[in-house]
Order: sequence, then C-alpha cells, then structure tokens
Amino acid sequence: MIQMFDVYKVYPNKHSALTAINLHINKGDFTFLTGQSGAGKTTMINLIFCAERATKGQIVVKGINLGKIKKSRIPYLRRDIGVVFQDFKLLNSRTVFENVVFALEVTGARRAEIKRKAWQVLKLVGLQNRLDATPLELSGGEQQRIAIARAIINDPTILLADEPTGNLDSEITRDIMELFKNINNRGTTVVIATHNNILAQQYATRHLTLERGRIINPEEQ
Amino acid sequence: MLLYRLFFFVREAVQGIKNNAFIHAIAIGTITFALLTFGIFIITVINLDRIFDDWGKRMHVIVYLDGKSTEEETTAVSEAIAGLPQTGKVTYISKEEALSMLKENLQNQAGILDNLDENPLPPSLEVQLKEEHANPQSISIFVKEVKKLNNISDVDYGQEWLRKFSAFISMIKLVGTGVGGFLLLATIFIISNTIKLTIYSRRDEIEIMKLVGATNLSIQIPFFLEGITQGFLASLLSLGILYVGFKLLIYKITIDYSLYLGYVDIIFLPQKLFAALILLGIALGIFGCVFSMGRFLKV
Repeated sequence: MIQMFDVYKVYPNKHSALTAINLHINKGDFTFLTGQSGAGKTTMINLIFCAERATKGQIVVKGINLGKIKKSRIPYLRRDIGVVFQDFKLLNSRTVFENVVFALEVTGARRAEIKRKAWQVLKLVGLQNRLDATPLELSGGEQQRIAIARAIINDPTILLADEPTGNLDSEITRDIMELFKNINNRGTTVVIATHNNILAQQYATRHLTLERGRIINPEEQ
Repeated sequence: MLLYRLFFFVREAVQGIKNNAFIHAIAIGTITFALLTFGIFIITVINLDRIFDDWGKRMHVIVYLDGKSTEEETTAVSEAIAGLPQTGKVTYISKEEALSMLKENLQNQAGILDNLDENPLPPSLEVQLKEEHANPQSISIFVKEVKKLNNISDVDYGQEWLRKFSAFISMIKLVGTGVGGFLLLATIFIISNTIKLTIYSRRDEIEIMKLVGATNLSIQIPFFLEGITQGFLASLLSLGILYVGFKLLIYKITIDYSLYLGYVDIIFLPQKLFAALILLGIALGIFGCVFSMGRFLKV
C-alpha cells in the first residue's frame, strides 16, 4: 500500500529530515511511527500525502509513484488518504456537520449521499447528537473525533494521523485509539505518528522507530 | 453533478462572505475608495475636456480688409473665404459698424472718438470656423490660405492666446494621463494588498480544503465569486456616492463659475464609462483574488 525506496528529505536550509528510508506498509496494517520531536515522523506523513516531495528516492502509494505524479492529480490521491492532525485543523466558523461534510462536498458528491455518509461517520465517532455545535463549543477529544470523521467520510484506503492524541489526556487518548482500531478493522490502512512509545506497544501491529531521520528497527521495515 | 458543484461554490462564497463580513467590508471599502478617486478623476477630465472643446469652438478669425478696396473686391474676398473648407459663417463688418462697436465697448470714454477727422477702422470679415476645424492646427492652415488672398491688410486670430491655450491643453492631457496611470496603479496595489490580507486571514481554510482533496480550481471558484461580489458592490457603492456628490456639487459649480463654463453642461460619467467602472470594479475584485491566492495554494 505504501512503499519507500531509499528516500531522503533535505530541506533548503540543509537540514536532513529523512535519510535512506526503506519501508513497505501493507494493506490493512496498523502502523505506528514513533520517535522524539524532530525525528522525521511528520516529514514522513507529509511525504505520503504529497504535502512535501522527497529530495531523493521513490515513494509509491497505492501503486502511484509520487515522484512522477502530476500536480493536478494530487487532490484526487488525497481523496483516498484521510489525514488527522494534532491541532485538529477544523474550521471554527462552521458546525460539526459542515466540517465533516466539507471533504465530500469538494468532490461534488450529491446531497443525499453527503447526508447519509455524514450520519454514518458521526455515529461511528459518537457525535451524532452534536451536529449543530461549532468546534469551539466542544472538548479537545470531541474536536479530534470531528477531524477523524472528516478524514474517513470519503472511505479512504489510507488514514494518516500525526500526533492525533498529543493534546489529549490519557482517557480520551484511549478512546481515540479504539476509534482508530475500529477504523482499521474495517479494512483501512492506518499510519499513526506519535512520540508516545507506550501507545505504540499497546496498539501497533507494526512499529517503526525513527531517530534523526533514520529507521532504527530495520526488522520492521 | 455539475449543478451540485455550482451550488456548493455559491454556498461556499456566501458562507465566506458571511463568516468574514468584517474583512469583506474592509475590502469593499478600499475598492470603493479607490474607484471613487478614479471616478472623480475621470469626471474632472471629461468635463475639462468639454469646456476646452467649447472654448475652442468659440474661436473666430477676423480678416481686416484693405480700406481702399471696392465693393466688388470685398465681395470677392468674402466669397473666397466662404469657399474655404474650414469656413462656417462669414459676417461683414463695415467701417461704420466697427466704429459704432468700438464706441459701444468704450462706453463712457466714447467721447475721445468724436474728434476724429475720419474713421480709421478698416472694414473686416468675422469668420466663424466649422466645429470640426475649430482647433489650432486647422486655424493655422486656414489663416495661411486667407493670407494668400488680395486686398487683405491683416488677419487676427488671437495667435498668442491660441498658442498658450494649445500648450495648456497639451499639458493638461499629459498631466491627466500621468495622474490617471498613477491612480490606476495605486488602486491596483491597494486592492491587491487588501485582498491579500483577507486571503491571508483565511489561509487555514484554504489549507484544509487542500488537505481534503479539493482541486485548486474548486478552491479558487468561491474566492472568485466573492471577489466578483466585492468588486460589484464596491463599484455600485462608489457610483452611488459619486452621483450624489456630483448632484450636490454641480449646482454650486454651475452658479459660481457659469462665466467660465460658457454653454457647457457639466456631465456625469457617460453610460459607457459607467459600465466600464463596474467592470473595472469586478475585474479588480477577481484580479486581487487570483494574484493573492497563489502562494496559499502550494500546500
């Protein structure tokens, strides 16, 4: 599902974020990327959904070589990759419902389909009763649930999460992890970047550890 | 599908305006102010042009005849002048008529003319030029032709005044073009910066749209629609203010300066420019959006 062959990422200021990364994530894997701040976790997530381009090496996602993908095709790839962030990235001026359906609306989906899917995902994340609330009226855990609902409303084959529980307490973190597990059980490939090793040991089916831009447990690659 | 998308774009634009009402109000205010300045400038230039044009049309040439020429010779000169393509109307002013006109002009001092042994004033022809020839170039050509005729003592067409007037008009046109160009550039600069600010405040929204797989075009269209709305509202607003201001001022101007205005009516923007100002407003709205969005689309 996600393959990286000898991938390097060097920023214009010569900072090397990733070095000689090789990995192969299979369909349906529940993968954790762990490492300290600055280890290269976010860069790896960004490379997978084309927010950044690799300096060297090949990345293949769902059979598409990201080094050769046309700019105009990137949005269509992203519709099949849900992304969740630590800071939720919600539109605070819009309601829960509007935030969630936003991802479907930009694809030109029909209203009836939008409503049906919104109901399904909001039920899955347990927010079906808060449709008209705005994000700022909700707790951090609830906001992250909206972000997850938005990320999966398009039925993506890959779900990426960058420190999804970084701002949440341990109880809510467990709920969110259960939610990811639940989504994974439905067949979605899930990749979670976190600095929390304990979480990874608890939930991961695969666990990659990054240190200064290198994977230090090659047996997991 | 297309209809759903269209509906989505319009809804996004409406929501964008609603959620960012204050920022939109600032952008509309800026465009309004810029268009207003530009509109005032255009109205001033148009009306100055009309006034100068009218002054030009009222220019006439006086051809002084040789006092000793016979009636036949005078008629011949008059007919020759009437035959020139620039000539509109020719009026013969006899020696006697010239003297009585002078007396009329001198009013109380007319007495000084009583001691004259004979009338020293020559007979003349007052030539009104056709409208299309009432300009410095045509007048020069006309005068050259007239001077070739016999039995003419002098031709008076306010040479010095005409030269100064012509130079003045050229200067006004040059300054006008310069000021107009500068104003337009300043307008574009101000508008593009204001819109850049409005888009900067919504960079998160654009980033999220990109993340969920929106194409650049589908992100831009609602912003286009907002830009069009902004530009349209701003142009209507500026035209409204311009019109009310114009009506309030015109009354005063016409009364206080009627002497200089002559028979010229001060006019508002002609219909074509009226439409052009609306289109300019819309174009500025779109232009500002397109050029300000670029770097936020590179997620």
